[in-house]
Amino acid sequence: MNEFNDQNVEVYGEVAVEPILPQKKGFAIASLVLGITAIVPGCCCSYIGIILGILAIVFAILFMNANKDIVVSKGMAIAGLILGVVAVIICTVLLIIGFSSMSSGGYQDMIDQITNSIESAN
Amino acid sequence: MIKKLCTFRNLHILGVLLILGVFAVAAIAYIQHGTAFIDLIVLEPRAIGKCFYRENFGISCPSCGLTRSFISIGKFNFSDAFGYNRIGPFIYLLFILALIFNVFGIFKSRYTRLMGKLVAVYGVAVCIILVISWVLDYFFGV
Repeated sequence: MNEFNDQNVEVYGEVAVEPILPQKKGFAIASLVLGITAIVPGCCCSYIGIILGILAIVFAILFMNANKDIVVSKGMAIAGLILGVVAVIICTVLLIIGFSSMSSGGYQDMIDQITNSIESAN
Repeated sequence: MIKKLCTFRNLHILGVLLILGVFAVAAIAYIQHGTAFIDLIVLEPRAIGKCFYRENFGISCPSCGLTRSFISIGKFNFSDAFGYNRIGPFIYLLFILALIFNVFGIFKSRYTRLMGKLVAVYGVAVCIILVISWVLDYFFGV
């Protein structure tokens, strides 16, 4: 029993405790920034929102892969991942709604309404 | 070469320029027309400031009305600012906080890290509220 305890003391005594730092933290920051940018102005700009959202997802996955063996805070990367996914979903839904309304003639109706209102105003 | 350019200080300078660019777009729009539309020689006339979805499909996206909201805030007309986009003034505040964060970063203030965390948390919260607000507005008419 004493030998066991002595061994443990020696082992723990030799190991220097160093703080575990996240690898490639820039990827997490980039993911968060791209996620926010993908939603706030990106959603207005059709494909740009999708591109920014996909980039946010890619950077978040790269950060998580680089730190999968280490217990570090992944809050920023997760937030970037969620915002990226949400931005991609919103842009895709808007494009689907838009193109479906175009194909069903809703777009032409809208143009006609705008043209009529402009003509009546003049 | 790229590593030398990508210092934290330079990235903060880039951040300041980008945010000032956003305010400049709103200011130019107001000076030119008093509205959110901008004529630029290099681009198609009135290319900036108009929403792709509203222009092409007639539907509103979460960011619709932001430029007009920013212009209204510039005129201290907050009721109109909330009217154009309910989350517009909060996003304006986000840009101001991000500007302060980047200025702190340039001068290496000790509050830079704290400010960065504040901007990150506030930015994520604003994005989530923006999306929820748009969903309620567009799909449920609330």
